[in-house]
Amino acid sequence: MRIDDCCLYVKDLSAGYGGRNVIEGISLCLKRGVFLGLIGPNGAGKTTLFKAILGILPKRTGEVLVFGQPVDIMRSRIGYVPQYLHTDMVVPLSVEEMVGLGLVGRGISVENRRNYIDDVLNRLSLTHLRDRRYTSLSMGEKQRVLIARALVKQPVLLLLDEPTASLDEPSEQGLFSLLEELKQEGITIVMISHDIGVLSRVVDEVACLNRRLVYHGRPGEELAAGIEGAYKCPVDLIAHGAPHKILKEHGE
Amino acid sequence: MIAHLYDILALPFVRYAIASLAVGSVVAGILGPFILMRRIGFIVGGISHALLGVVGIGILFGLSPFWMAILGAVFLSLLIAWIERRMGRGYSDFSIAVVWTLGMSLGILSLSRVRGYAPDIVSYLFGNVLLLRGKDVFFASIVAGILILVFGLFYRQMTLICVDEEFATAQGMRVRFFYYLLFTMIGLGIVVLLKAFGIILMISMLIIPSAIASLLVDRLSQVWLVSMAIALFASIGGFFVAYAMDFSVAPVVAILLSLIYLIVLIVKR
Repeated sequence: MRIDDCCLYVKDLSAGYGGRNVIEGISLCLKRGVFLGLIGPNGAGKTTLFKAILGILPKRTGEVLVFGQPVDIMRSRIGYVPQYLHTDMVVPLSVEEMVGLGLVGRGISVENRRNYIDDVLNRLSLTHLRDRRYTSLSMGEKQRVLIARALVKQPVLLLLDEPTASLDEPSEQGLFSLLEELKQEGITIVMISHDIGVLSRVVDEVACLNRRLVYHGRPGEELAAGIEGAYKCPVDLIAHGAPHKILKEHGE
Repeated sequence: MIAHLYDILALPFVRYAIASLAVGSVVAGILGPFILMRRIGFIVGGISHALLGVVGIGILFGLSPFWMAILGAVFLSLLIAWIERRMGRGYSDFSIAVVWTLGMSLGILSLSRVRGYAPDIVSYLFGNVLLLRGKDVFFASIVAGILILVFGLFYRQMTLICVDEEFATAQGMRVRFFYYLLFTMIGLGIVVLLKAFGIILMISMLIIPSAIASLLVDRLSQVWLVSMAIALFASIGGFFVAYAMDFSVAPVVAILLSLIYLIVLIVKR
């Protein structure tokens, strides 16, 4: 496959902390409009992979390209939703202002800025919360605001770190409907999750990470077979978060 | 009453004091919310005390206390910022404590070598709003102008590094540059308020108005304006109360701000 065909192209990527590589030799190519679920046990390097892709953590080896361009050039078109953002109650930031932070450094006029924010607030049904203090929101509402902050820059690639962790089921369904829409619009999505059951219903591809990429393929039967093959442990255990010990024992 | 007010305002030192309080309110209104969001309120006391060392060394070697205070405040702010970056966010108290004790210790040692009394250091660390001259107000206005310009251009970037530094890095922002720029501006603000108001009033003005504003409004853009308004109201109001009752201005303003804060805290929480 040509590099230019990949929205996200990662080759031989390694990164870590101190003297230890948390991820090693990661290579993958995601086409435009693909929804990838990223799974793996705790400490497998899922968040580290995101940070290395985004340049938050310096990569030790390898390269990352977005539509054939280095990340530094394409950064303004990559949306990132962290797992959690700790903010003190005293931080006086409204929902509108928090979402607007996604446009920092884009050089957008005040009027366009307002339009971008209006659009994304409307799309995520957050308009009624625009003047509320971010820290006063529920966990689910905060998560939607962080997604809005990532989407306001109109990304071509969206990275979400366990966005469903604090959502109830209706909110989760709402999020997946939104992600499906974004996918239809051609946005490539990578989402970390521990819930394979949910993932397998909504994603196009699944990648399983345990320091190295041990599986990358389609969900469903192939996913189960792939993960069982890779980890030698039942998929339903992975789905319920219990298999970490088994994964460590059978992981590479 | 009005005639008496005119008589008071005709006095040059009163005009300089009110002008500097107004300028100081602007500086406090700009910097306070960033200090609040970054949770580095301790920096205000730390730098002001650590300046003893820098100004003390300046006096020992016959250097200008004025320039030593400015350069020292900026240097100490950057040193605190650098230590915090090395230690990790959440350790600002430690970095400030290191700089605070280092500065004061150097100050005590250097002043012990100065022959006789060192009056300059007293004026730099315990400034008095009633002793200000025209050039002091002019200098404070220049610094306020620099702050307005820098934060007018970069307030979104500064806000983002206070709220979510990781996201700022992911955005491709030059996080380190803006981080050190923010601390440089805080250092400049501290030294100008310190010279004009002294430690007590300077700490009150930089910390309390933004803390009150953050309890009253939910938008950062409003917090800046409300902080300035509160600082202006308390400082000018406190000045006239102190004048009428023949009290020192700094403690009256500090008490007024503290009372407003406590009342708002009780009512709003």
